[in-house]
Amino acid sequence: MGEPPANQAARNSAARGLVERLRRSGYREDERGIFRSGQEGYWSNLDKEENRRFLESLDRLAPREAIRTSYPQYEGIIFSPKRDAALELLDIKPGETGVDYGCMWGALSVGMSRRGAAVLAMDQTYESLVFLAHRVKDEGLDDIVLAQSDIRQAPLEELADFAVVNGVLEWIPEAGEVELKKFFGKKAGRAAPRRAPEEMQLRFLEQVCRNMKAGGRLLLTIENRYDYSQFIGKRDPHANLWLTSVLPRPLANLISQAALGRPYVNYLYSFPALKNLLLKAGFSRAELYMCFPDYRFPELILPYEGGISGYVPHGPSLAQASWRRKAAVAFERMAMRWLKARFFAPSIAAVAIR
Amino acid sequence: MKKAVIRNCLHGSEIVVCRNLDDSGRCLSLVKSSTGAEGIRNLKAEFEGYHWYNEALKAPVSVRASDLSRSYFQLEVEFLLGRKPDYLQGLLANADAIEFGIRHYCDIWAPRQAQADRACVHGDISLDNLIISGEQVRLIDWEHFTPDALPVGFDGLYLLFESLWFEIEDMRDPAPAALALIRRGIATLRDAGCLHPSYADAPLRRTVEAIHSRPDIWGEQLQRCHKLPILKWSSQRIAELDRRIAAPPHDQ
Repeated sequence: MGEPPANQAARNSAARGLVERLRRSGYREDERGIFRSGQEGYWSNLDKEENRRFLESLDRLAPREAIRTSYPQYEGIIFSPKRDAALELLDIKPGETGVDYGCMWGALSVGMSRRGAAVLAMDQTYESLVFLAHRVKDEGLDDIVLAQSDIRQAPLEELADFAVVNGVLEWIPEAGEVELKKFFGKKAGRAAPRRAPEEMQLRFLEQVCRNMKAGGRLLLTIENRYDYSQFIGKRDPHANLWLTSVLPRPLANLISQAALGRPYVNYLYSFPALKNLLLKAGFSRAELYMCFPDYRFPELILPYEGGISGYVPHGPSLAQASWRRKAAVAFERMAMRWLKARFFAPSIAAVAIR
Repeated sequence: MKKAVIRNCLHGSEIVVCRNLDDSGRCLSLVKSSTGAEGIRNLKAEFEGYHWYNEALKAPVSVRASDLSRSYFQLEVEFLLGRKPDYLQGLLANADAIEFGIRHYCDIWAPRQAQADRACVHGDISLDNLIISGEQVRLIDWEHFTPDALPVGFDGLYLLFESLWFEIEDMRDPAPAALALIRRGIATLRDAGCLHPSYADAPLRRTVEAIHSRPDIWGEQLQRCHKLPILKWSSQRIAELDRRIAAPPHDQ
């Protein structure tokens, strides 16, 4: 057994189609093979100086070794096989074309490619794409096409068979650069976005929808606005403040302005509200799934409709865990197993069909 | 069709396990997949294992492999209805399941591998990998299947000793009834020709030695996550347990 030659040919042909399409849309390929739209931005866990030094290390070290040497805390985020389990919901067929919006270091782009798709990995941050270019070369994943663009302004009508928006929707309204360490929970003056956050997210999803062929599938993953753990002491995963996700938006905005000096824009959604947003954006239907313990390293992904009875204890042994962790797990088990409180599941995966 | 991801790279594996569900949420089949080299190797071994297993079954387990991409492999396995014993409850609470499991091992291995020096190995016959429906038993999770690997009896003994581990772990003394159950299991294997003579003098120690002689069967998982709990017993403890298993009941 092995990859049938016809599948390989279909994948290569889809990748060539992607390249041609980018050229026709005004992207220019640079010396690293990255297609550039001219729109630039910055969102990274590493600040710019760290990224500069890290990219230099890639001349000497293989990508995984470089991460392990400089930033071992991100090795799992980039390389863990757990990261791309939600792609199973998409039933990717060999030779399909997929777009990973806000791909960053490419954890899911690589998973899409390994499943046999030609992948457009798109991000605003050039440094992240340079890392991914090294990884693509190192692992021989030559059907991943890299493009730098503002993903909010990347019209590529009817290009994709499927798309992935993984932990990205909540950042769409963010105006300006984000060096996460200097930003997360820190005071940073920011102007209010030009439009209401929800409207910006809607416009983005409309474009994602238009960029797909009829019948195309979108996988969108995001934290649940009403994640139960925020009610037992966990902070807002984006603002690092208490309860801002849960509170009415104007109130969250006041708190964010007072505590961080910037508007609250990282809007999350409940299960029904996210489905409504997707339908409003032009998708014909959307299936929702609950992710435990979160969407980044999911142990369980269960259908929102009729799936909560499949909830089982998950994750590593609690023998060495802190009492806080044990209490949180006990709370989750009670809420999900006995109270069937699916509305408060930690994260959402949505599969929406154009 | 809806899906549910029910296991994601559990115990250090590189395998995602999904359920295919119909609209009412009923499970139609299990889909196991991997994009990692070791995971793909394990899934291919599982496919081969089911093929070997099915040759001995009147009602074979339906299995379908898809190898459509360069670094992705998918195995779809019929969803087997039945009860899955709770392995954490240990040996005595699962006495009937263990006896069914040992008899099933003999039914599958004896006709083809009696007294074999190099028998096929399932590699993970644990209570967690038995599906019991009435008196019918099915073995699942053939990811570590290895042909012609270890003296016959390995998997049967492993089932007994892993269940004993969850009964007593590292601190409790085994109850006489637990030791009697182990002795009965060993006798069943021996009578069916499914216990190679090399295990006879010290079955637990020989089982542990067998694992150490073929670590390749479990790959990196063996190091990564202490996959096989019986390896946590010290050699002293192993010798003591072997002595008590061998001793006639009135000597204890």
